[in-house]
Amino acid sequence: MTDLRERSRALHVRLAQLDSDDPERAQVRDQLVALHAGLAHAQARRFYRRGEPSEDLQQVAMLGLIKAIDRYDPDRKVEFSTFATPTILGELRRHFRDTAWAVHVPRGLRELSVQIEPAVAELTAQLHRSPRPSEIAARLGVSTERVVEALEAKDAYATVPLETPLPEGRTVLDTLGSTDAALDRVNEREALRPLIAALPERERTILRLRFFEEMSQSQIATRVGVSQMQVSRLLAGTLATLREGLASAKAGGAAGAG
Amino acid sequence: MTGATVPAAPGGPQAVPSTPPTAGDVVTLAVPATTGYVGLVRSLAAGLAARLDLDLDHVEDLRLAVSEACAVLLPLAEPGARLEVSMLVGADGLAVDLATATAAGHVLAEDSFAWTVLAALADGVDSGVSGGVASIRIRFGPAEETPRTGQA
Repeated sequence: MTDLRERSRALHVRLAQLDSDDPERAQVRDQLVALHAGLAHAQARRFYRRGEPSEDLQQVAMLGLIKAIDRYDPDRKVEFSTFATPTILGELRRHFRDTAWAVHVPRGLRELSVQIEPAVAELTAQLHRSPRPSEIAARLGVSTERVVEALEAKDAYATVPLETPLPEGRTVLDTLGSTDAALDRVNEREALRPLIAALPERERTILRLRFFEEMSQSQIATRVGVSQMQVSRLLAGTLATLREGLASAKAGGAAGAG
Repeated sequence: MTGATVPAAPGGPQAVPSTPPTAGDVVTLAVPATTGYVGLVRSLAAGLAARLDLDLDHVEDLRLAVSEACAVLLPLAEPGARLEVSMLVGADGLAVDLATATAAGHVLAEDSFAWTVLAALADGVDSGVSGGVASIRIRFGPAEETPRTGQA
């Protein structure tokens, strides 16, 4: 233990001597991180089984460790481990506070959320349109307000994986050509074309169906083979990507074409 | 609250609101005109739409439309300006007005991609600048001036 303490002290003293842009800093810091990684891991383990993936917790703890290394002053007569522990714990606690709500959705609401998606799918097939909250409520035998709350909860902690493959046998039509034609009436078309071309095929298809062929989200869901909620999320992501792309194209002064 | 015993919703302590939203009601929200509040505006709009019992396609489209409208308006906002959101409950839908103080001369060209997106999502879109205020109005459901025949 003495050995570790002495090495740690020597490294910290060295780190304190180096300028902030000295390339040696990164090396010294890495050595310190490696030396004290066990401390971070031990703190992260205290938070296991709270519904967070353990790798995430390890990373958060390591972040806390790095902050502690950067802030530690070897001139103060405090052991590094004593100094670092509250910083690492603080980082873990903050992580939980920021993501707390995924953990704190009341259980009843979470259970209701789970029932909603299949109910929506059944009702959509039956009604040939997406259901209203009151219709979902009637199907599940709960109040409409409860359904609204569950929809909100579902949305706020939605972490449904989006990499759902297209079901076998469904082919995505040639998406690029028809989107291209539809873009003719849009003035940013020159900037948009490469952005749309760079989208994954499924996102491109959904974009085209919703905005250039004006299909409803539930029609698209049926066509593409994902849930309506996923269509909504994919569209939100795609629109954000395109907005950012357009903004940076403008900022870059690119494309006076059109 | 009257003395009547309204049974609590199963699985939750809250009672169902006794008076549902009614046509003509107005819901307002004002937030700093910064991107950090877009989620709040979006949630409020979607929450209202769901309580008006719009179908889920419309609720989700509204969510996307509010994001898009905010993405158009916020870069135009004066520093320190607020984003004023006003939602009007209609007989079978709602209209959402978003407005912020601006020095810009125009909001949205009808041949812009954002307009294409908004027009596809909403049943009606209006935008403009008047008296230093940039605004976008998005409407879901039939226009109030043209009462719809047939039932919902």
